Amino acid sequence: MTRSALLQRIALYAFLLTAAAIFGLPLYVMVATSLKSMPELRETGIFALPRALDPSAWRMAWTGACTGLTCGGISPGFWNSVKIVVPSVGLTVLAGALNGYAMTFWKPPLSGLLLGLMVLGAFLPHQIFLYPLVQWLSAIGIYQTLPAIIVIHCIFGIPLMTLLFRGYYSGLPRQLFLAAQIDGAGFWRIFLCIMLPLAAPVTVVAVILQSTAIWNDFLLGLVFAGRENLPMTVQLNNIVNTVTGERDYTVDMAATVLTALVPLAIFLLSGRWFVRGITAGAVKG
Amino acid sequence: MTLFKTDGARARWSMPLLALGPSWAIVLFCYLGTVILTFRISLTSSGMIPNGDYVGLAQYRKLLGSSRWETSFGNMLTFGAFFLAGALLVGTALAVALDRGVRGEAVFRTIFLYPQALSFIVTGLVWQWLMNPALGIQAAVQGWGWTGFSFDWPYDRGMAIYAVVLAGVWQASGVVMVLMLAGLRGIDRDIWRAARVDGISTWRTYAFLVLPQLGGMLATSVVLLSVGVIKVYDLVVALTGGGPGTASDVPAKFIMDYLFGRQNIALASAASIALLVTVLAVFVPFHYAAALRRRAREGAR
Amino acid sequence: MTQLGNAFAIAAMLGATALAASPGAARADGLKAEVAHEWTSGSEAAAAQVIADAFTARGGEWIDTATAGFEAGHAAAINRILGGNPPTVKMFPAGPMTKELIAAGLMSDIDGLVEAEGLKDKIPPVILDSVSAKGSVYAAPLSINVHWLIWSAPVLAQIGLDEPPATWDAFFDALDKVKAAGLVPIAWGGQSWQENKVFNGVMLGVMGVEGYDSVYVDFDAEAVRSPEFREAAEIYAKMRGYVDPGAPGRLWNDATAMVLEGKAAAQYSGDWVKGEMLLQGREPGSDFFCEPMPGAPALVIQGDTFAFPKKDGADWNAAQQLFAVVVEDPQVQLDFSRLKGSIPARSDVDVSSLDACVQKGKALIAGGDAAPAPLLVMSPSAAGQFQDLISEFFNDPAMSTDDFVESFAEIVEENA
Repeated sequence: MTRSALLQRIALYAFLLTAAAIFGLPLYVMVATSLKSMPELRETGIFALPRALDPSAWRMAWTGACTGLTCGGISPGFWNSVKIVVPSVGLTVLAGALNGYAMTFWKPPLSGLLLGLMVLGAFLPHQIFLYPLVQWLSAIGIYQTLPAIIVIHCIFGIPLMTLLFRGYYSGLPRQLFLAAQIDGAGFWRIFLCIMLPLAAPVTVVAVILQSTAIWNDFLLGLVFAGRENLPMTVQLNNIVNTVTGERDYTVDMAATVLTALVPLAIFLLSGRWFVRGITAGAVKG
Repeated sequence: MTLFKTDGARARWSMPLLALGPSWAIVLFCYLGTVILTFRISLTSSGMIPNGDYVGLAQYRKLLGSSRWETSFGNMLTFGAFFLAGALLVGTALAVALDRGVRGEAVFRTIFLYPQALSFIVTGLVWQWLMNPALGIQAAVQGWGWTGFSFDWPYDRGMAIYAVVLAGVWQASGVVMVLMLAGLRGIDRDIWRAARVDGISTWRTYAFLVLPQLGGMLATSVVLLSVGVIKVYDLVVALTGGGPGTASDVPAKFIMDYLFGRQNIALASAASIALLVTVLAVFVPFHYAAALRRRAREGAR
Repeated sequence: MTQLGNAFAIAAMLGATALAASPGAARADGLKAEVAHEWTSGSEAAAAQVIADAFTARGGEWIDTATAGFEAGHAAAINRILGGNPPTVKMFPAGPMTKELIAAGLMSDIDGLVEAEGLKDKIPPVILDSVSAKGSVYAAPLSINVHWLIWSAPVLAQIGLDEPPATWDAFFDALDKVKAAGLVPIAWGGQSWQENKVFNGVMLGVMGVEGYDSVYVDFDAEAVRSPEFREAAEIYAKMRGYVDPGAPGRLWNDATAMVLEGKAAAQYSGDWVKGEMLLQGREPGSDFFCEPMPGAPALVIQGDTFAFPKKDGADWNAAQQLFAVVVEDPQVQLDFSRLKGSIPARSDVDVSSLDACVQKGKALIAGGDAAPAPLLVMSPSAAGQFQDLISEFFNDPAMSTDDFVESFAEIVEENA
């Protein structure tokens, strides 16, 4: 290796390591703080390594922290979030795939317009939908139920999912579709037997994006889910903004890490598939 | 007017139309319906509940005369410009670095991508901490001896919106990195051989030969990031609360405040429509140009 | 008697029956009430528990829906009321906030109880009128909140004062000494609603009750352009020099913690600050002082009430009426205020067992010499406009007093 090539390598790694340190710092602070006690935090600051692994803040955040008169921590919200995320993600991804497929290969009339309106819809701030959607969901009698929040996530999630799948399908050779048609396969058969399995890489991307987005939603869950189904983020907000005298930052951070755990795990475990999915053409420019 | 010219066409499109039915329902009923309702409310004097008292464009006049709206709108533009530029720059730089064949690529990738998994509330909270003058980086660096060091953006009115930019860039760069990396991997490797033969430096090859080919990925990144710009709300609330004063206020927060806390849905609706018009002003020419380009390409084929 | 009056009678009867029955039996067929509120800090939650216990003891069942933050809590509750799936009971600050819900026929009145208890003579008119429409009362007032300038006694002692300063000159003099001692003069809550309170307090101190009312009640723009208002604005602006760099965005209880720990000299906010001090075992007079703003002859007041959204169902209104009975129970109001730091809404409650600040506060507001907080007398939209401006003025040193006064006068004219 020449001298200049070596210097280049060193500069490259220096850049990457510095960037990694900056990107990693917030997570480190979150985790380190959650393992300290308040006196220790005051004494050593937020950057020092915890002296011992003290799980009490985690226990408190999970089962003990209070909101108003209820002191159950954020654990009750965990299963609520799961109940909301699983069906919402399943439905939006399936609908997105179906839309993308129909728009790309069948091109029914006005599908360009539909796509344009969907993209536009993705840009609207969610707040303005709240009042009309509350009225409409009340009119059909499901406001403040689990189905309501699932419907809401579908309404807001389907456009992006459609775009994603449409981008992917338009990169596939059209011959595939024509051949299947010549073999006599109909609309649904081509979708279920050929196009859906072919879309595995983009499906992974779609699932990851959708599940993180829905898991992290706060406002829609608060307004539409009903008090029996409030997601974990609502409880996180309650705990982080509930303080008695001095704030217990260690519990705040433990609650924060706990709430972020599921999307973090999804990214860590399937991050490789995420990158592969995009590389395989899940997102087309 | 009938959509279908022949019976055959009807048979051919019945299933696809059925499949797209729910999406049409969402778009027409929820999106367009909401926009029409919102527009109608914006012409009334409604408070907490929509009323039928039409006052013409009074709410729009009030909106445009409001210094808070002016600040919010300006902040959205500032945030949009710096957030887009920052995330694209950082994301592309990271992608190029990872594309140079480094050890532990997967680990680096994960570290750059994980912020995407966090909610804006969490991101806002953590960065508020890191930039807290008494608690965060400033205190630590001053503790190491650099007493003149200052890093308290959320607490400084001139810098508060840039604190939001910083946290946003931190969160969104990872996705740009993945997109750009995917784009780089899709490029014909021969380009490198050719460049080497011609004696073009690595840096110049990227700048003039490789990156220009990533226009598609760039466009996708821009769309993904812009959606976030219009909607930026949680991040601001968690990081600065729109303050100091209204220094880091954004339109979505303005709308939210007037919609609920202030019980002035007419003004909130006017603000929403103003925001929508802004999006249309950017989106329609862009979409139209893209359609023209596509038609030109298809025509050339 | 109206139909709702009958419902009240039934509720009262049910309450009485439940009292007679054993607690276990009462709970088994208790009247369920989902109570939505935003009381999530330590002293607030403890005070809410008092109502919950009293409600349970009379045969109710309290289902708690607490949300941290008024914005989020109100957004959820108002959407639920409009969506026809409301909580049984919602805590609201007294004021015209629920006016439109009442006009739309979405709220239950408590006229039966008001008549039975003679509340019209026992609740200050400024509070009761703010939740009344067409002669009916639509919310049960629970407590009056007054605003205090809380001084840390140890910090004052450190600068050689054994009582708080009573004039504006002495006020800034003391703060200068605190600054010189290396402490934070004002524990500043850096959110717009908190900054708004401080300005209103200063205005009352400089302009007196009449001047205050001419601005916020009569919407008289001339009063805003007066030299007194200008002086208030200048005093408020001067406070910029007495806060620490961490002030922007700070929550009220974080500011209170600074006073508690002896890091800061004073905080001006609602009496919940005092509630938090009491909860931490501090005594008024020896550990801290509660004072009106220098020169203020009275205190800015606001109130907490419970409102009752309508919904079909046999037990629904019965539960609401029972809840209202509990809220208007003098003993409940007394116990609640003891913990929350507030003053009972009913003037006939004997508060001699409460802390010295309550005695003092009650005396200061007794002669009707009270200045209503903006939300008590104007629409949230108008109050919000003032709030934005006042907060911006504090945080933007580039805004001149002239600009501030003129913008303020414009908002007054717009809402007059």
